[in-house]
Amino acid sequence: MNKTVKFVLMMLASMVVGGVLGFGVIWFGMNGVAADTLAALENGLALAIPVVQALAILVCSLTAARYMKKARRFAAALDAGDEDQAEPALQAADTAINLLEMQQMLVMFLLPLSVTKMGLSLLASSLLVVISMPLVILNQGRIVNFIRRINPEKRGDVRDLKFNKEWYNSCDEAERQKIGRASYRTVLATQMALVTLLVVVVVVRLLVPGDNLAAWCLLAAILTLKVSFWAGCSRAEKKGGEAL
Amino acid sequence: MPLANRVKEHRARLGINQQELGQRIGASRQTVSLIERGDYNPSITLALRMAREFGVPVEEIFALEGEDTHE
Repeated sequence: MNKTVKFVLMMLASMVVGGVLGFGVIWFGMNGVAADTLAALENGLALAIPVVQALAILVCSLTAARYMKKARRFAAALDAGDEDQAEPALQAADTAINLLEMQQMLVMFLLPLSVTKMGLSLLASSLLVVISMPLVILNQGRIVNFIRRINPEKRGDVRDLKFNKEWYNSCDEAERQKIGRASYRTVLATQMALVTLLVVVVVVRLLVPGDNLAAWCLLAAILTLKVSFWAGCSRAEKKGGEAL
Repeated sequence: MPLANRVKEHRARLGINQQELGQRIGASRQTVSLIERGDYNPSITLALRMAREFGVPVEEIFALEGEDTHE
């Protein structure tokens, strides 16, 4: 398909999605359906959120543990002299770390939804966050130690606030290239998501009275993303891709 | 353009593992593995360090795909 046609179609599709979302919100607000629907939604959320959080902790932690078991098996073969087992061992450890990240994100992001009239829901939800956080930090620390056993040149302690910087600085050129590519894709995806959200928020704001807080927050996030990316590029040019 | 390489051969000649070679040239074991599999083209600095370690010219380790590395 022609690139211009594809671009125009994508823009049209984005406008339709934005429009449908915006008008959907307005329709719910104007027809008074919101009160009943919101009450039902609130009760449902109050009951469901702690259950979903507990399930997230259970499923993610257990799956991560399974992946780590697999990683240790590969590492044992590596210790026995089979160098081809290093990659699968690291991949399994990476998956375990990502699962724990996902657990933490789910548990944290679900917490605000539990702020309903049912106080017990918030209490249970907060308790699960308190349980999940040390579990994740402890297990991530173990996995990082495991990765460091396979790659002894790696530095950094997960309990340290400068962990990411130290870890990056101990990466070699191939790993830095991989991180750079992944970061660029992340910037593009985040930018797209933020701009789409901004369009939806502006459409809603034009038709429904209210304040501009959401739009300002999104603009601040877009600005931070842009400025930090430009600053990062300029610093990388000066340092030639060396330490952060 | 993809690079053909004889890193594994030269490493075997020295009788060292990927970890040890990585330590000697300032790269990770993972990067040595990626280079050997042809999944990563090293920088000139790394290629030169590797050549110094093996005691051969760079052209003997790396060549453009389709061209022979110098014997």
